[in-house]
Amino acid sequence: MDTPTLSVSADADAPVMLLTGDIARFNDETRDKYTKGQKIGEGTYAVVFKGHEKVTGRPVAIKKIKISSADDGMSLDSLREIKHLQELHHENIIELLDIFVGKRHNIHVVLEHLAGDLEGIIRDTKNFLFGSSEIKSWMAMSLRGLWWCHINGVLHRDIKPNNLLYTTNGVLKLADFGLARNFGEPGEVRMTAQVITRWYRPPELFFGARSYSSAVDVFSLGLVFAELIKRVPLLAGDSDVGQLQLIARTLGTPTESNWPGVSKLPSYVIPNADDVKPEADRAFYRMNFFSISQSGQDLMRFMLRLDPRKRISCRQALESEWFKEEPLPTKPENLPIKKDKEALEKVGQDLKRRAGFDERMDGGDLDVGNRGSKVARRLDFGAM
Amino acid sequence: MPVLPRSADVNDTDEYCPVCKSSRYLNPNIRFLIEPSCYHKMCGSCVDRLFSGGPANCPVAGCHARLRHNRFRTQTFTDIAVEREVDARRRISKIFNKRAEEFKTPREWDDYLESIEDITFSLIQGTKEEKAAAEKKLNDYEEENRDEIRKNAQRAAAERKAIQAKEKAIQDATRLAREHAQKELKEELEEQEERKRRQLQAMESGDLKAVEDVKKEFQARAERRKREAASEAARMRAMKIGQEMALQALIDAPKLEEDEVEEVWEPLGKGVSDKSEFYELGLPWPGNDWVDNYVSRPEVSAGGYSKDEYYERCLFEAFAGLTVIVGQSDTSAKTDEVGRTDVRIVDPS
Repeated sequence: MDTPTLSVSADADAPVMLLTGDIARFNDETRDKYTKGQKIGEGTYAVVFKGHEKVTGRPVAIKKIKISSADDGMSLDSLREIKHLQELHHENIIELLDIFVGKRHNIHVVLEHLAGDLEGIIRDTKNFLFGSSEIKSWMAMSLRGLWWCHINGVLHRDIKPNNLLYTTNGVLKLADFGLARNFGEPGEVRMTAQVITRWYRPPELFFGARSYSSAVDVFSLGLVFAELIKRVPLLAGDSDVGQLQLIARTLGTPTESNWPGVSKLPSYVIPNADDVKPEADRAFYRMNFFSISQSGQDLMRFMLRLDPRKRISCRQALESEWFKEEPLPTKPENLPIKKDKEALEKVGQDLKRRAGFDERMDGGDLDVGNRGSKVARRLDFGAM
Repeated sequence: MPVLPRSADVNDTDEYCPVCKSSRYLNPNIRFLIEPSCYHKMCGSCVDRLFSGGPANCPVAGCHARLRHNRFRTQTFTDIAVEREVDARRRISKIFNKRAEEFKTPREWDDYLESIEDITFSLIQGTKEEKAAAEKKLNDYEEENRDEIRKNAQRAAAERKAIQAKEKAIQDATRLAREHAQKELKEELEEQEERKRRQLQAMESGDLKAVEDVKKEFQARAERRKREAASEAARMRAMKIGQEMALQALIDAPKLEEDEVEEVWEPLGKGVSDKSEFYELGLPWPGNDWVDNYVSRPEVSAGGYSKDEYYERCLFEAFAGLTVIVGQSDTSAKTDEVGRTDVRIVDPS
């Protein structure tokens, strides 16, 4: 008996994509560039495998996107991620290397392999101690990545420590563009206010703003900044209402005086009517973030302004004095990264590297300058 | 009780310190040290006694070399002449550390080696004047080629490291390959064992078909094993080639440490600029009624919507991709397909 799903015919209604001719060949070539290794994670929309690029041996992450024919096919998140990552090429944004269709017609996205996320480092207070020069470096790298998104007209909309990943060389990369979108056009096209993980969501989204700007990402990053210093989330609300109250109590109550027009936002409420507080001033940041210098406190204050129009842009933030003064940002390669994970990786590679199967991989071809045997050779006294 | 000699070349109990005359016979733990300025031998306690207060002259009569405590070391070769030569050569090889690849012809390389040999010879065997001349040549050369020498030294160090890494990789690989082979052999033996057992069982039951089935099953299994081994081997080959290339690249082009220049803070990162060669956004923009009307609505402006951002993006998109000519070069066509990367940046990566 013939099962209809298996008959890969030229049926136009077939649920699978049919590749033919050059495209199929190109697709196969891309697919053969990589080896797929063990599974390293699974989410709602995708399964992530570890893999290698065959030619260079460099590790990659292969994301196999689940397509459920029962729903609408591919999830919107993965579509957004692919769409934006294809366009954004920057040192501090995760690199999309290739896309191919697998043998069973699943879409595979090949991403560069990253060693871990910032959350792991922030939470691990036992093993990781870092100071303002490390924080400066992380902030600079994430601001650069975010600046690149914004200048290319993309809002990330999910900035949080576990979306800030780092390579084994310590270079920080923005990842997870599942909620990203282009800047809104002026007019009736509205953006949803239901984005950004609650703890990092700016007040305008709680008030239901449908037209917002890159300032939402800056606020989230400002909270990451605070978290890097405090090592706990600055505002960890247990519900949307609770989160708004927390913002009001900590950073000040949003009112018409400190945020003109705020009361016109669709779901504006005064979250703590009995205890209206003015917006957090320099004294507040001096008291809470004394471990960084004045200019650093100012930078954070400008990133966490309640009124999004008063918030600093990524470009302006990068011009901050804080980055220029001592101590200078740590070089990425000297930043702390999770070692145990790295060790695990190493083991993984060891096991994979059963390479020298035929034992021709001896050092015979090590002679670098193959200039022929007629040239005189020197004894290496320098290495003694 | 017999005293064990400290090392094979100084087993002579008559050996004595020319400074304090104490000998190995009286003090079996005596250590003889030399200082590579004049190579006069003396015992450890003399060195401590004479030089712990700072540099002093050599106690040997007629020798006026100035010696330092921290430069004293044990002798490697019994023959002091050899010791001396090796020291000289070591020093020279650190300064004259050019590589064969840096020369255009083998002849030039050989000439270079000969010039080194000349200096070495006069430094070791020459008369006083010759020594001084060689010394001067050496210092002048070092002065002139300081940068190049440092770079070559770094490259050599990096190469040594890369070669060590490669050796280790090879060791690991062979070990794993051996383990894998052993495992496979064991599996194969077990399978044979099982086959024998199953076949006997089938024969006992007297069912000819069962015997045939067992035979077929194991044939299939053997074939599958063969296929798997072949694909595994292919995979290994691919991995190995990749790894070899990576390691070789490491050896070929060891990363030189850049000069420690004073780092200048570049807000956007090295080599990245946000200036376009086509336009400059003059803010505030005179305005466009349609956009202005939209943005002036309080629920829009209070949400942070910024018209400047909108104008900037419009301009950017208007000029994006202008310099891209599809099909001109593969790499540029690939990154610029979407036309976002070309206008603003010189991408650092």
